Amino acid sequence: MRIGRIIYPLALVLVLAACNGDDASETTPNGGSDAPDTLTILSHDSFAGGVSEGTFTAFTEETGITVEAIGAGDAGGAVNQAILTADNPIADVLFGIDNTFLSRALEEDIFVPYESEFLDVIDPRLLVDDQNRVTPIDYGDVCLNYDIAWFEENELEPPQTLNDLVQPEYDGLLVVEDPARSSPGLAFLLATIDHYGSEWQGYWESLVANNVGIAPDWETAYYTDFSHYGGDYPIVVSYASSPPAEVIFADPPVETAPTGVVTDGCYRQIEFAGILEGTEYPEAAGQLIDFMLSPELQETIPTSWFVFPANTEVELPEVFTENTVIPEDPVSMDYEEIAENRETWLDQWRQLVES
Amino acid sequence: MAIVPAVFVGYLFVYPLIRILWLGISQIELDELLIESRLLGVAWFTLWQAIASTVLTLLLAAPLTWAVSRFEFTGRRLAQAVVIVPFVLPTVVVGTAFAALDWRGSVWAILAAHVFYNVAVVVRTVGGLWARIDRRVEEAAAMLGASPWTVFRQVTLPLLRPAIFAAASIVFLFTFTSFGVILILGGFQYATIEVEIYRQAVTLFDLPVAAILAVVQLAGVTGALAYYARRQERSASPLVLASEASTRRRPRGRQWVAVGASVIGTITLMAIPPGVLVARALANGGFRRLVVDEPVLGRPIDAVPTSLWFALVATVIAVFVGLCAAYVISRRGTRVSRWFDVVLMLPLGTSAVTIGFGFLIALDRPIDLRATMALVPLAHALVAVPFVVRTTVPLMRSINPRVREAAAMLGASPARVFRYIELPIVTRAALVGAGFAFVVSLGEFGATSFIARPNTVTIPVMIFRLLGRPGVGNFAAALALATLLGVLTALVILVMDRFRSTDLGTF
Amino acid sequence: MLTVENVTVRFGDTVAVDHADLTVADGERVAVLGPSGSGKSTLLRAVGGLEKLETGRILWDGNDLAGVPPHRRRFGFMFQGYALFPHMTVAQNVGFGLKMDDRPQEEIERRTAEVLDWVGMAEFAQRSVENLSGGEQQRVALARTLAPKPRLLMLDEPLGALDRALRERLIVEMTDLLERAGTTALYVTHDHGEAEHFADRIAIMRAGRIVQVGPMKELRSNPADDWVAEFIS
Repeated sequence: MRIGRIIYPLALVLVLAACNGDDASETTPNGGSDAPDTLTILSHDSFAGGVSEGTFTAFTEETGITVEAIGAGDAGGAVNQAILTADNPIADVLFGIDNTFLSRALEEDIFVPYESEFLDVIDPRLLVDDQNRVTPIDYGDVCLNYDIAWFEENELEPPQTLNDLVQPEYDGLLVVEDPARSSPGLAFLLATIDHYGSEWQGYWESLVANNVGIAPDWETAYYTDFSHYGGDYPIVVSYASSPPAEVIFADPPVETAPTGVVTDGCYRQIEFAGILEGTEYPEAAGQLIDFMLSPELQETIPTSWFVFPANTEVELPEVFTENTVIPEDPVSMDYEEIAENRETWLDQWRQLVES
Repeated sequence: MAIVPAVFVGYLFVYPLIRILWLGISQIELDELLIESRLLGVAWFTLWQAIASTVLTLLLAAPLTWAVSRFEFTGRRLAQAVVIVPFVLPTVVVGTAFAALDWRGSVWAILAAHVFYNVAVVVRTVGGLWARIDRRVEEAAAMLGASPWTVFRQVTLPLLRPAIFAAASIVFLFTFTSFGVILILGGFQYATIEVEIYRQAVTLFDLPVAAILAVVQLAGVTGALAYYARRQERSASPLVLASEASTRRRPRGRQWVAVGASVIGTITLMAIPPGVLVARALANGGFRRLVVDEPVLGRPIDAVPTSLWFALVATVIAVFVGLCAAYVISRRGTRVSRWFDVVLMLPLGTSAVTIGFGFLIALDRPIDLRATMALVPLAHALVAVPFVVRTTVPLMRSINPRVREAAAMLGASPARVFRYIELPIVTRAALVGAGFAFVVSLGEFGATSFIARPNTVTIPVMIFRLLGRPGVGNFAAALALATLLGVLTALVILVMDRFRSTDLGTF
Repeated sequence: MLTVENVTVRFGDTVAVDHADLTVADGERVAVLGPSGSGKSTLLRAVGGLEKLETGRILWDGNDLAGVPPHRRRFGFMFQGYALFPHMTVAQNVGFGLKMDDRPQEEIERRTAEVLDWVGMAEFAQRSVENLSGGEQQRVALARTLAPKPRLLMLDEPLGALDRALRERLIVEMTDLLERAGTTALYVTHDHGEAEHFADRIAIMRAGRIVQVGPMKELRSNPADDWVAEFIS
């Protein structure tokens, strides 16, 4: 009874407090006014995780609009959520959709076309939608990373090409992510399909014969299976930006990256933003996309999200230029081709590795 | 009384579930629908691994449960509290530890992890009742010539049955809908229905197939639950409960060996994976990084108060809703209360994707709850309510009906009977449930991983964000934060247990 | 005055109480005596409002109690096995009825002390009820039932579980106590010695029916049938 006397009144207070909290956080703008208080960006968790207090300060100062980022699982999850809520969207802008999921979103017609004032400074290879329904914001290259120390100790040359990986000396050295669940995993599969064309299944048969490891996601592949973190595999499918991150987050600090990038077989993931069809504030949403392309935000992209700015006028920080290479000619497959074949490819891949 | 849980579970679970399933099923085109035979294998694997995991968990948790509920010894409370730590550790973190021990990639790894995660459910649910069974009942049987084993089988076990069923049903649900463990520890050739729903819904965006799988999963879970509800109802008998102080004794002679072996053996085994995490966090200076201000993620340790606040709110909601529900359910016998029980348990056994997507399309009216912070504790509470119900219903049922009648004859209206008789008696049991609710929320599993949420960073979210970036510092900080989460959990449970038993003097 | 009129209680196919009639005058003590399973406890529970009537009425001072729930009847009921509240102290148990009547705290304390004094349990007031002996529990239960001054006291085998010597002592004490307080009481037992000592009149029950009502002397001198004669001998 004594407990009851404390807990139940406390319960009431807390429930009431929580309800009040709701009201306070109820930020959905009402009415059709042209200047909203808040714009909401729906994205994947890694984008939401890279939004710091200062990310949109300049935008808020300029327009008076606060920006809220909501995270929704991975890139696929964010797109699905945007499609499911198309009738009554939970956000004004969808960001972080990449070319592997682009067709799904375009087919569902969830975007309002928007022509950003920064279009002419964007790398033209990134502009894949001629109707401008989506705008490229950044890109990242999925590349093989290798553990420099491991290769030195074992007196082996790091691989140079995709072909090297099926050679006997690289037996049991590579770990990849399951392409059905992991976006870098899918990127690597697409890179091999693009590289080997109709021969890709043969290539994967050789990879399997060469004991390729398969991890469920990037976190497990990198932090558990990669030899740099105590795992058994000195080659892992990761990003071109991973080596600079190893320098930035080293503890104790290091001069040069402990990992290297194989420039062959890289796949370029482009991340787009689009204004969601149901938004009440398409104009403000357009301003936000412009802000995301402005040098102000683009400069923070490498160190916040570990991807590269789409705006060609923005320079990379030194830690990036010194520790990684941006592949000259990465693969980037047409989104319609991906959409048509993805399910088949995934099934074929699954059968190959399961046998 | 029924209205609170009915509205809660109706609006937050049943309604979104129906909406999302209908959306999927209405898109089915029969001629296009091909259910691969592989899916049958998936369903079979889901079922048998869940049953195997449940049985193994019950068996392996039994010695520790026995030791902590029947004996008093230094460190008992600590042992009772630390078993719950695995509950909050994200799978990806535990996977790292299992991998370091080379425990990955087989069905045995899956079963081992399921036991590791669920021992706490048995120790705390069954132990809660076991500690209150009057020793004299067992002694009476012994005096009648029954051997210790016969006493256990013929007397203790039947008395514990309601709690065993309660624990088994929760473990079954968890393992039936297992996701992270299967992916990360099983290697990629194993899939549960849950994993397959995720693949169909998120990766392929094939809602019809996902909906069919979700229905299959629901049917399996509902069937199992209906069975349990019936069994539990039959096995519950009003019994005279004793105070924990009177049932726990110091071990004597050879009992020390058995108790010591049970406690030390189980805890040591369970400490291996967390031990690996702590060692690796320490080796890379992870704890120091917890307080370092990282330019983008901020200080990792700042996630702690946020998590505690959410967990507190979720717990309060879960206890409130759960107690109302337990009251309704414990009025035994009616078919309505049985189904009510099943429906309240269902969120534990429903795929997170299904609930998450259901929220998205259903919760925009009357107020738009989607993508607000309020949805997070509500979703946590939805998953936590069954713990409160499961821990309080057996005790509520065991209250002698004469005691309620006596209160009524003394002038207490039904509401006051609840307030003055049932509530105080079950509050302690509710605290066990509340402990789970708190931990469920701290560990953020289930539906919340798939709901869109504003950028408010709880501990598990921070761990994932740290792990989402390459770099030794991030890795070590993530492991250190996971360690801190574990320690925090053990502390909270320790305090709750103490609170629970200091009040026991008047029991 | 309590009037039981043509009362039938049925559990499924079993008729527990079969068209029973009984009256208890103000200040009178009546015992319901019968073998186990004869329906006497059910009759008591029906009077308390704890069982549904299939036929008949229960009246207090001529008013039908059909719509009055147990907690509004202001009857005291002492259960077999006592049904003490396990989470409360002795004093909290005894004061419960007064608390439910929203009496001021000081009155609750005064009355609790008074009633505990009557039953000789004053020094146990702050003890937990869990570790009391059977006889002590019985006294606490009696005190708890008496404290709110019920208009009718019902006792269901109140001494059932106690040993013989204790029973003999307690029945004397209890009868004295109720006699002094002038309490109207209905006492269910299977022990005719208890019934004889306690009650002004005795109702004999068999298989759900009340077969004879009267003072013990009358029952002895003029039993309704052979069964009654044998049962009370």
